[in-house]
Amino acid sequence: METLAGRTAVASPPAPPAPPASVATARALARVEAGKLLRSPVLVGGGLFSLLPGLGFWNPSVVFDLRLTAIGIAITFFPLAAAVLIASNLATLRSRRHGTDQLYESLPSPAAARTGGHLLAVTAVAAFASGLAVLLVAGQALLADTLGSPNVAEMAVGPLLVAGAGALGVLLARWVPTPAAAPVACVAIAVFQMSTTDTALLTGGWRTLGFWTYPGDLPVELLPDRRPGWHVAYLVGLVAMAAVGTLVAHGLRRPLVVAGAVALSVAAGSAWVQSRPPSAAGWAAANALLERPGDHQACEERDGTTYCAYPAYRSLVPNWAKPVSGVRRAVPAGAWPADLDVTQRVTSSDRRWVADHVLAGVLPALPAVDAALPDDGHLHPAMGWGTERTDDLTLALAAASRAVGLPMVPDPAGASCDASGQGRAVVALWLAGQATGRAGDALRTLASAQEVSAGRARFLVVLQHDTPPGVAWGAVEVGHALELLRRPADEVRGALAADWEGLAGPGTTTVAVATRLGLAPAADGPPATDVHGEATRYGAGTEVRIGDRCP
Amino acid sequence: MSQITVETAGLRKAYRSTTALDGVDLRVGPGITGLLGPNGAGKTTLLRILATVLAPDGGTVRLLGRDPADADDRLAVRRRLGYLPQEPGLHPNFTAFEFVDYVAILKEMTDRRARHGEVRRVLELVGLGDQAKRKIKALSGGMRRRVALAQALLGEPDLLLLDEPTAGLDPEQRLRFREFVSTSPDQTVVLSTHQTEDVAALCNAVVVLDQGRVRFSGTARELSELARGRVWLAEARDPAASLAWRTGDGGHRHIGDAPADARLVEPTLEDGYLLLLGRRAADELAA
Repeated sequence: METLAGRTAVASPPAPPAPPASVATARALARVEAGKLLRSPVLVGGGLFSLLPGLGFWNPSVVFDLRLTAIGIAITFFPLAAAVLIASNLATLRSRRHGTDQLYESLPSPAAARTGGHLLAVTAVAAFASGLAVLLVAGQALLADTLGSPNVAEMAVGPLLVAGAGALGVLLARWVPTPAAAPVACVAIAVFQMSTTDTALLTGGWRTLGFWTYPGDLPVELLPDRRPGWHVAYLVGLVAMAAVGTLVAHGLRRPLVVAGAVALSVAAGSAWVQSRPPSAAGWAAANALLERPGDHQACEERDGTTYCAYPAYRSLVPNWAKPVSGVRRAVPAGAWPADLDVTQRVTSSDRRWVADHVLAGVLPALPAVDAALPDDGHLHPAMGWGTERTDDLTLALAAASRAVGLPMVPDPAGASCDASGQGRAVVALWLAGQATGRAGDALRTLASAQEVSAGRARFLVVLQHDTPPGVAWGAVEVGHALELLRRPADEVRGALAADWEGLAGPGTTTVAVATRLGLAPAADGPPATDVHGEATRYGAGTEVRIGDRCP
Repeated sequence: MSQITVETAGLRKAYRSTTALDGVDLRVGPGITGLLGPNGAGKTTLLRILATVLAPDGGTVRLLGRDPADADDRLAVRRRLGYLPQEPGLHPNFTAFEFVDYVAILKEMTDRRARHGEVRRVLELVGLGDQAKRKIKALSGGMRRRVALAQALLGEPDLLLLDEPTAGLDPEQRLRFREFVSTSPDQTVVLSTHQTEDVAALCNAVVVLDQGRVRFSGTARELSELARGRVWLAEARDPAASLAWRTGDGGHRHIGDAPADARLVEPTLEDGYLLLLGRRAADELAA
């Protein structure tokens, strides 16, 4: 053995100072990694992709249900979660991608500390997402009309998805160290999520294990036993499992085994609870809302009309009152139906959805569910306001129809009656169009969109929340009403007050009304194609059949 | 008596059918030890084992009085170690400061203020103080090498292992490197390089590796002395020489058994190295 001259070995050198913990290293790394994650172009892109569509759909006339907003945050954050998954995966793979592992392996901090740093960094992004969730809900509450109160557990789902996605990204980097794994995981998660449909809420089962469960267009009141707290616990368990699974890549230790067992228990237990079908009591409560709305609604009187709403929707009463009062003010005092109330109801389309699923055996039987709403002579606004731009017009038309004696719902065969040729249809259309500015705008817009104003369509159909209306309005009557709307309202109001029966009576023809009010004669109408009995699609595909002459 | 900080005995390492180290015995103390050898000699493998990144297949290693095969000792060694790999793999989107700071965290410097002060110090030391905020991908090859060097200097390690530290550096930067690498007399530096000038300028000890074995271990002067009386100049190439090459003034320098009338010259470290390893080393140095 060669020796270097004059040198000999000595005893061990003095012990180094007490070592700082790996936890401190992980925390210090987390601060760096969190900053990089939050500035990552992938994350910024995902965040914009999450938020901008919502801003694009912003409509100041919509009354937002904050309960649905809170639920919807989970869907809103899915692109952000996917971005965090990819970004955290790339960050954890960074040393491998850039060939820095060899250097890092010579350093005192173990790879587990780096992994811990990446996991902790994800919590910063989740905290940011939480702040964003609060901002979204608060922003809606401050800038728009709202109803209901957001459920905190529902709001937490979105940020938990972000945390889980980030932890999954780190886990994949440690177990499947290729950049291709993260995008594949995103697709797999999306496919799994799409297989858990909205019926899961109403049926229970494995489909409740989806990462979020959105009720679609159903009102919250029709969602018995939603169990958001258990869903949060389920997600917390999944996130913890992902974190433990990541650290296990560096060696199995007793604390990890214990933590993993606890996480698995929480996730499995919560999953079992939330997979139970809604309870009988839950269904009974939902059924009671449909069957006996009056037992659950609070009522108030405005301008001589009684308005009844489910508790969370009482803030909608002023929105209803505007078009109803607008119609009532233009109807002579003695002609207004004295017993007309405004009572909120679940729409026929929602009731039909539930009924179809009962028939298909997906839902348990709900004795009172009947898709067809009887005409009880009252007005029945729906469970929301503003999402349909014709809300004002729909309610005003219902009030006006009631005032002139036209039906408000389809006939027993489901057909909308034909009001063409009837002078009271002109009166009803004018009453509705002048009720509020929005109602008039909607009438003009619809008449144009359905090519009634252009003379290419025979009827104007105003859907009632995707449900066929009671009346199909003839093009001639629509034209006369639009002409009347161009006149001073007081002038028309005065003419109606002077001769209500003559103008709005059931036997008065359109020609007679036009003559009495000095309206321009109707131009030659569209080809006299008989559309009675044919089904035509309107709106989002609602089928409308036009039946016989309105009684 | 001087202390030994790096000691190996019978060190072996093989990669499949290739033997990288074949019974390396080494004793290194404080000061700068140059590790010379042609490509494939096993220098990088040896440094990786000393950096505790790679475990040997056989033999023993003691670093700073500890056995890196033991987990606790290995951690203790890593806390006093600075390592510059041959290809350090920097993060292109990090700034120079961010990268060195990141390594500093992994060196358990968790106090942010103190750590940032140390990062600024080492960046200044390698001449990158004014480039700290530039992204690594925007730096030249030489600057990137200096970033990598800076991280190795963090915490003034007792044992500094540098694999090709001056690769890509221009002559001025190499001079500067020589200044700061030799600052601490108590520090042990093992410097693997092809640059015999650096070894000659810096190293008080030299180890020559070839095909996984130590061919020489001694002082730089002793390596040069191997070529005493065996280096001569001539106008024309002498076919009797073991090695010969053209010099800048048009003549030829020869190494080998000098003819009687040869104009002998003072041997350099490079002459001793070439005499030891022959044509293969000469081709690599010329490349």
